[in-house]
Amino acid sequence: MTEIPRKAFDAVERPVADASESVIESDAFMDALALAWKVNRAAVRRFERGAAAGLRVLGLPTRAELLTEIGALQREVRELRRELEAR
Amino acid sequence: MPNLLERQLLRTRNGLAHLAGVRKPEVAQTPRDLVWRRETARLWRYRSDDRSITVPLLIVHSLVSKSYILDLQPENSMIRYLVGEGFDVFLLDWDAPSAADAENTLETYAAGLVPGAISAALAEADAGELTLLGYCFGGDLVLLTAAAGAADLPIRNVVALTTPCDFRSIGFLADMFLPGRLDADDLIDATGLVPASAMDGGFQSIKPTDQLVQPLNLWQQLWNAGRAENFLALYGWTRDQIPFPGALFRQTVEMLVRDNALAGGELPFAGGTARLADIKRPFLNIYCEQDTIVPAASAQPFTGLVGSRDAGELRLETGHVGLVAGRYATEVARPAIADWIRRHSANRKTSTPKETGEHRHPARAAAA
Repeated sequence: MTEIPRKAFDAVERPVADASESVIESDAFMDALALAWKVNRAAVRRFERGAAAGLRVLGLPTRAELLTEIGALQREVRELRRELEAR
Repeated sequence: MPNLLERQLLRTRNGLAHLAGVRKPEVAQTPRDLVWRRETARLWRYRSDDRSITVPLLIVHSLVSKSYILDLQPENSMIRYLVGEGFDVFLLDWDAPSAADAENTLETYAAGLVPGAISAALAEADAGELTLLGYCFGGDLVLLTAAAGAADLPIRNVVALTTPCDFRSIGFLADMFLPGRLDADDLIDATGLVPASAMDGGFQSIKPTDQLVQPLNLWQQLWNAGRAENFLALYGWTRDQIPFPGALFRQTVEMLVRDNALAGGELPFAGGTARLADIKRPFLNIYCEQDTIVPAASAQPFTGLVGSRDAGELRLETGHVGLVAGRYATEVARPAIADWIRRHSANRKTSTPKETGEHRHPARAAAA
């Protein structure tokens, strides 16, 4: 982009940026965004629960269940290591 | 400067090289050794032939980003500068957490990993005390460590770089978690972590037009391979987040945002209370006028909350990243930071009056 088009872009962008930042900082926007996030999250969780139930029928864990199990095991190993180091 | 057609050809060449991964910016190039490691914590010591300042400097990086911003490129590196100034520089940074770290809390860091790194750094440097410096959320860990272990830890000085204190002054990133809006668990995934994408989304939301502006900035720089590489290194870092432990995120939302406990000077910690007033070491609070992540109003209160009789501050005319990388960092911020630490690493004073730094540090006056 050459000098003049960039200046033109900046002349438009700056007031738009200021306005959009004001909107984002407004209570109404943050309330609406939080609500939209919660609705979306609830839908995703419902889908995940359904998928997990399907996998359980097949006797399979979900990826998250596997990672959580591995994480719990790693924490136990750390705890044991700490106890050994303390002796 | 090449003419328009030549610049387009250079842009094509450099753009293709970038897309093919040929010209990937090389970051974190200052020579260093991994001297201690525990869980996600990594303690690096930077190699140097001139460690003329005998009090080691331990930098604690934030938990929400990667530490290479402090050593971005050889000609644009806060760490390389400090090494060159004679400091014995250690860096404590963090591997991306996994599900095993989901239960990590403030105590895991400020009562465990940071004190562990302090001991390891002192043993490695064969020193009796060190300067503890924290960047962004790393500053909160440093202050909590210093407050909770005030009497026992061999800390000579405490430095906070653009560290949030008053979370009600942060704006969007914190206000989204006020009661009635999002709860911490709305962001924590099934593995117990806040995904990096959620962290990135939050930061991107602060400046929505950046999604348009930054590609244009890249296009403008792209004809010059060096400038494009500098741009990509910096912009790449701003999008390079790591996940955040869920339990720590719950604490952050409940204690730091909703209760705004740090702004009150104390917070529940490890079954007791950590009080900022218990920090009696010399303290420097550095914050930035143009910071949109941790606004000056959020960071500033620390200066009056610590119990140090020597509490100074540097209020700089730059932003959150400009403090550590870029021209302003090179010309103003790094020399001012190094100067304060150097002076406070010399023979200990017996007593100093409480100073706000407003009339104290020439760089602050110059910056203001």
